[in-house]
Amino acid sequence: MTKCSSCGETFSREDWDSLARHYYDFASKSDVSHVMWLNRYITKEKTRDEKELADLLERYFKLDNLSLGKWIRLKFIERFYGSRPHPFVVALQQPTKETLLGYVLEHQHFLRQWVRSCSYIMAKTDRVDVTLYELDNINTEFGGFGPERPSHYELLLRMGESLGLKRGEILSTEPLPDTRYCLGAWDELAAREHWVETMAAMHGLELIADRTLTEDGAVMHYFDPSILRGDKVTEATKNFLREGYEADVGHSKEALELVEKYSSELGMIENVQATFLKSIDLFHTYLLARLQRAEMLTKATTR
Amino acid sequence: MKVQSGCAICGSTWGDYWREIDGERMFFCCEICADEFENMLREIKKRTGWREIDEIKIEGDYRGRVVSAKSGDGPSYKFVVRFDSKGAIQKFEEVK
Repeated sequence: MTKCSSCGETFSREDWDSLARHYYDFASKSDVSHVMWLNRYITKEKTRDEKELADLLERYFKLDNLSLGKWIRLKFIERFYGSRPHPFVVALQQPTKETLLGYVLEHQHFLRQWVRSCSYIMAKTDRVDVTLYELDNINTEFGGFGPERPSHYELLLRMGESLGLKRGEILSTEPLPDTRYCLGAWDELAAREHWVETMAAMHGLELIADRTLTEDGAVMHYFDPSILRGDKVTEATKNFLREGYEADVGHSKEALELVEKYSSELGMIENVQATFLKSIDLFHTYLLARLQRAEMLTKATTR
Repeated sequence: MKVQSGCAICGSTWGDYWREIDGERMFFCCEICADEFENMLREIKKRTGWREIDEIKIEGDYRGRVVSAKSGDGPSYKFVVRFDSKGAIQKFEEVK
């Protein structure tokens, strides 16, 4: 099905005319999410008519010779690692203590939602390879594999402690409003959408730390890898960043292979594309919330 | 007030949202952009003490905007601004 990335309304497969009419109608009513979506992904210039918009939509979604996984990678790069990289990624290149604490305080909530989203996938799928993948992912991110291999969540909390916060302080800090908003939207998405779409929506986000993105045009890595070698950040910070740096290449790659396999088997490539785009929009907002937290901490210390 | 063509915040020509700001009927692509613009003007006035703003030039996008504001013949007031998902100011930093 063709699907509206803003509100989820569906249309017949490759029915770009109906999708364009839908966006045109909502844009003429100045509907915030539809207008923003057009501005950010298609064009800020109102098209002459619906037909011209339909052509642009078709061009945007058509895979041509790309695999779905590659299309997802390229759209992710455009959004976060293009000529204007995301401000949080820029801040993380040589992170201040406040940037890292902003990461800790917001991301603890993200990881708790992460488990819920992945659990929805497991609850809905009947494919063993998907269940096994999600189990492994949840353990890596949240459960851990015993004292020798602590989870990403545990490493995050240790990073926060190494930067001067008590574990209790971290855990009792409520998320900022934009983080809360995004987590609610991801929860709703996972509850409502097909499990293949949720897989793309969630695991596509693991591309953020995929160091191979530069091979496809990303202008920088998630952070400057040299900080893993020097003494600019704490050992616990290195352990946390290294874990993501090493795990997320495999995580996103394997998940996107599963998404490709099942979206083509189940005939839902366009649904996956639309839901993925919605998720990276949320991710943009969520990353800004991390930065907002960092800026709040900086203000508090310089006062 | 002199602003870019299209939406006064983002330049988009989609949408059809109008709001009266400082006695002028202005075009925006959506309600959030109008809120952002109003919040931004309020902050400029608070920081500069200006009663009127004559010109706003904006570069950048939703990731962050560099803005240059003018009132009368005085010097420009330059800053970086970023908004949250509801249009409130998330970051406002003067550029010297």
